[in-house]
Amino acid sequence: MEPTVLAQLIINGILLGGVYALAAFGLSLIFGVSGVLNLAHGEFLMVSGFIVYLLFDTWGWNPFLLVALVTPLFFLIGYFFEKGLIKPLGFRKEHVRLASAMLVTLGAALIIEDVAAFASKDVQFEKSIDFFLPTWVVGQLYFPTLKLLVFGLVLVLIVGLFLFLKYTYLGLAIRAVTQDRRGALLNGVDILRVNAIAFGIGSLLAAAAGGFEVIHSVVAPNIGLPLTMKYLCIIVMGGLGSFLGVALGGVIIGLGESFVGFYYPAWGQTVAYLLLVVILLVRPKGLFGE
Amino acid sequence: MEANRGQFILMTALSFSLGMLLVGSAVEAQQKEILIGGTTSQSGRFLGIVKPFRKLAEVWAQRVNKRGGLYLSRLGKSLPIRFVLYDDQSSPRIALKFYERMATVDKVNAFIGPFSSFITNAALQATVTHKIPFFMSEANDSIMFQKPNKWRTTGLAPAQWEYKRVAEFYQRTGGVKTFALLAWDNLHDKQAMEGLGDWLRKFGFEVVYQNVAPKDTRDFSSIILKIKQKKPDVVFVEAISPPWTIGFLKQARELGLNPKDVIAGHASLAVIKAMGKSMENVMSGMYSFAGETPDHKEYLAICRAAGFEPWQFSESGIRYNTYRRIEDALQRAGSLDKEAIRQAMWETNLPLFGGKMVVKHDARGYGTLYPWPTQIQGGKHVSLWPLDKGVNVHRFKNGKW
Amino acid sequence: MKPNTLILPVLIALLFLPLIPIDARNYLLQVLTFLFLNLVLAQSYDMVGGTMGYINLGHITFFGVGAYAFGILLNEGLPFVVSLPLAVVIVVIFAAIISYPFFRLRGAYFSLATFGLVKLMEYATINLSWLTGGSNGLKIEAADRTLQIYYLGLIVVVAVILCSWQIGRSRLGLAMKAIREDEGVARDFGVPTFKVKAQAIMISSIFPGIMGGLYTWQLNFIIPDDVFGLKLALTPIAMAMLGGSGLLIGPIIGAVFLYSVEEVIWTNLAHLQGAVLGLVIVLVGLFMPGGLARLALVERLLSRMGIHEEDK
Repeated sequence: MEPTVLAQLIINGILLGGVYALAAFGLSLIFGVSGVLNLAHGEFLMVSGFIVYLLFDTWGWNPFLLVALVTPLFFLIGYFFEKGLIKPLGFRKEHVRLASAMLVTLGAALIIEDVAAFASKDVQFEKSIDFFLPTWVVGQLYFPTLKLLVFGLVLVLIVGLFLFLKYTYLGLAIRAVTQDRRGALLNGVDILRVNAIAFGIGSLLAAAAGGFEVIHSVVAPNIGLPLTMKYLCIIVMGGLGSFLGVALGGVIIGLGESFVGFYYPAWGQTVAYLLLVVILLVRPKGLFGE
Repeated sequence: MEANRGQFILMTALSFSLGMLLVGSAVEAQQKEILIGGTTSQSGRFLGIVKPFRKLAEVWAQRVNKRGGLYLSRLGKSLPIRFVLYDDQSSPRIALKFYERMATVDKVNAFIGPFSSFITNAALQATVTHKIPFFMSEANDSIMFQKPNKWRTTGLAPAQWEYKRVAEFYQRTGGVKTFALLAWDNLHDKQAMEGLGDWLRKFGFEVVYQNVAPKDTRDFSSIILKIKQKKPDVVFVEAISPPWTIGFLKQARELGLNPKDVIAGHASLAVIKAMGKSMENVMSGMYSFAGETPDHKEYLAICRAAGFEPWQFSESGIRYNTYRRIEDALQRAGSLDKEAIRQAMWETNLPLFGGKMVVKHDARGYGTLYPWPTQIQGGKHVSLWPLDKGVNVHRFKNGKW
Repeated sequence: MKPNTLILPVLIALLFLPLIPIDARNYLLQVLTFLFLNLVLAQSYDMVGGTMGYINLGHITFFGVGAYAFGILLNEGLPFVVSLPLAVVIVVIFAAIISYPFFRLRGAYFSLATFGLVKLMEYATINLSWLTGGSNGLKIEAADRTLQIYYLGLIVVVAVILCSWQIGRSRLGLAMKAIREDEGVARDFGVPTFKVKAQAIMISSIFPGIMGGLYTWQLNFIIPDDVFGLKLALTPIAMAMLGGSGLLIGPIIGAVFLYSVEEVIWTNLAHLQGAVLGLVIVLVGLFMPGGLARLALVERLLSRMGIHEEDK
């Protein structure tokens, strides 16, 4: 294979991994802290993209500005989502709690998806913002600018989250709850608040990813669940609760899809699920899981 | 316990008879109006493509009724026409259920087809069971025509003919030699692409890339890289799902795929809006062409009354074709007798659009409708047909996004 | 729990329903057949999900494999009476194969892995197009078989309920419940957990396998999206949980209730059917983790009808 092609495939894979990692972070945080697999995660992404699109269509402001405005809203949305739907599940037995949470978030996902489709009746089903940042080209290599920005954001997030978790009280609380819920409780951590905050942050990250998707690609009411499933593959690969793991998991899957998609387009989408099953069988804790 | 048993048997019997009553009681309205039953996808993945078609049917029926309804000679009178339309949720299983219901509960006189071959194929079951003539709409894939079925016809030509006029266009215009073809992994899109590939080869062009990619693909980088390697003059992407097309076009732009011409099989409004001025000079196709005939005016009128311009939902052209087929068959049958309607349906020989298009069926049940080439100019579809008149001029995209 | 007063009238009614000469017979039969489908999926899911405590989100794969296996065999020229049983054998072998790697996982990991399996099977079906027809779908000889399928479906419903009941009273069932309560302890007490889990999932795969074959037989044409679809995968599980996971009567109640709700909504509500389904599922998760069958009100009603079940 020509070196330029090889290099481009690698670049594509890594940047794709970054895109995946952005949304997967949020899912990983939520699972790590509250033990809930938020099946509605992809819906937050979708709704965020929806709102950004509507605002762009109506006001015509700069899409990045709109994303910056809309994303923080989702912290609140996630926060209250947790308080309203997850908290009531309380301290049920482990597998009952997991089942209930899956049901609740799944039901919520179905509701959100259908309402969004209904709301799209007079707008448009598929939403994509007409905005293009010219690609940064180096020789024969193409670095899509938007993806570079997201990758940069992901790196910042990794560092930022690392510092946050190590040096702030909230960060310590989150780590404590992730490691041992009861222990944290006994040490006076307000678990309920921590859960809600984790959901808020997680949803905010999903919303940011939604902003990216609507500018770079397309957002449609039915993308939520398939995306959530892909992110699940990534966080399991990386190890539930580890951000570096998520980033790495995303990159591995991104590279996998890039290379497989080049030789066998038909199998490109299967990579993520194959890796999911393989990693669960070989090393269930994931690459960096605790 | 004994008393309970008696009670429960009674309750069960009562509830079942009640259920029977509810299901069995349909108002005998068929003598007073013509009932056409069908499903449209008001939810699920086809929603974006067929959204206004429910309204479209109602609008058309309204206009027909305002003109006095349809005259049925054997009944000696005109009857109004009404559509009964359910939501199939883009699912074959649910569609089948509703077509059964329309056959037996709503007691329709004929069926109009749903969107997509898969759903149509499921719906056709009800037709065979209850012997109700079925006017297929957006469905022309070979699976339904492998075995003869005298109860259904489609107005469309086989799927492989979908881009025949586009191939003819390039044969006429020249200036290009190599083509790269990409389709969504879906029966219809595959057949349409294969058809185009065959026509292109027949006309002496070279197809340097022809492939299918999964429906869930969001990242086309690898595919685009492969296509770039082949350096095609023209790139063709075919997907009835607009998000797929948008994803591909946006990323092609991003990764420097700049061919002489780009053909986007289904450049719906969503795609045009998403690409903005990058959409300029992209080639496409529509199920109608420009003109001033009465059919043109009627078609335009019903689309606008349903809230859209024809080019925004191009399959509306198929719908119009189907409505006219229904109207024509009913009038020639002269009655609501299903066998009469069926026979009239097969014998259709209806000139539309000033005679430029004749609706008829071949022995298998295929029709004659397939798209005319268009180009996106100024943010909308501009018809490039008829070729010899050169009404609107084609411009090469020349890699300019 | 003993057989009781309600079962016989219901069964008789269902048996003789098709004989009633109304126009809408086919429609009614189809409505009921799809209910049977959901009920069988829910009940068989609950063998592993409720009795044994392993939430198998990939239960639908048995249905899909059964549907395709049956269609492929039928197209090869094997008659129905050979194709259907053979398809079920294939499904059970499939269940056996996946049980070895997948049962090394527990809890959320197991559920995630099985969830991933659904997508994997969907893609495998699409890409192995020489075998399955891929995205073109698989077509078999067309015919109207509504009546036969109704009766066969009814038989499978009775079979799955009897089987569930029998498991509940057997040693295998006891072992499964022990695994649900505390797998580690069960193993320490000598329960051959691996064997038990494998047996459980293989048994639970028989019924969706049969229904898969019948589905192909009814629709004459299947596509991967249809038989490995998300909605069909999750609805029976929601039904089992709604009705009361772990109880015999649970999935039955859940299936009948949710299906009726869906039917009423689909026919009368033009939009937002999915949202209503979602709402029901949310409410179940929030307020009735034990399901309808464990609500005090419903428990009283059921015991008045003679259905009383020990809820361990």
